[in-house]
Amino acid sequence: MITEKIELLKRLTFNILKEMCFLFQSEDLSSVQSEELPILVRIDCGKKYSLFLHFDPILAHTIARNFLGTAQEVIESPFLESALTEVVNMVGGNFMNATHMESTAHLSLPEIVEEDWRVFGHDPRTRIVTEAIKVNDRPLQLTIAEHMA
Amino acid sequence: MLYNILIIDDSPSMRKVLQKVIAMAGLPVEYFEASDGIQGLDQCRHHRIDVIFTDLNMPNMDGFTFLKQIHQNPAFDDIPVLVVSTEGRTALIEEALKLGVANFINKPFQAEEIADKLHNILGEGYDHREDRTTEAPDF
Repeated sequence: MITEKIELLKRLTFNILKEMCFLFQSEDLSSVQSEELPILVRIDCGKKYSLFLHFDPILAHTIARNFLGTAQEVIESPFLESALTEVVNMVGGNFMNATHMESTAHLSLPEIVEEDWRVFGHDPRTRIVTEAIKVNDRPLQLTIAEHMA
Repeated sequence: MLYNILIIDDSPSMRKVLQKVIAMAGLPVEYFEASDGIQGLDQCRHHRIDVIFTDLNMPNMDGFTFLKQIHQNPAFDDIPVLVVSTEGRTALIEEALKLGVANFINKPFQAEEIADKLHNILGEGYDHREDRTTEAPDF
């Protein structure tokens, strides 16, 4: 069920942000209103799933700062992008492990993209679930696109 | 004498993080970096590398292709390799172990885990590898 997969994605994302970036989910665990966020990273887990993580800019810099272990307030390119894509790489890899995908399924390289999951909006063979959550009181939007064979 | 450590990862952030974590092991090290397997092979050809940390999922030449090349080359097949990857699927870990990987570390990792594994490899009794860069054949 795709609803179970989004719960899994939330859990994995929080775990990775905790382990690698020392960030925690906000006390308010309820979903926040989805909003347009500027940094979107996509990764494909085999042919079946595409994951999208959409970062609020303040959260993006906090993640990169903590990941790199620096006190610098603003993280310059390319370290900002590479910290975010590395986090998404970990999320994607752990998603594949947790869903026991066959060993031939390929994890794509994570990439910062312009288009979002709405590119699949008119494809009847794709189901999409998206949720916005809070990390350190900043929004993070998680999306799964499940492609049917 | 410094230990020469090669870090292969397409993410500059992860290379930086690994350097910080490796420094926690308290060993005298010099770092060499590569962003894919091709650059990794090049670094091996030009420097006496004691330990390699490599990712698997990389552009141009991925970690498995790199491991195969290293494994087949007698000048480098004794370099201890630690794979640091998000991959946790058993079949892929077994494939990496068949290619002589010394250890497999899953991301996200604990800093202590990296330091411990490095100490196990470079601990007491470790002899620096001979410099074989001059005899290294092309890959």
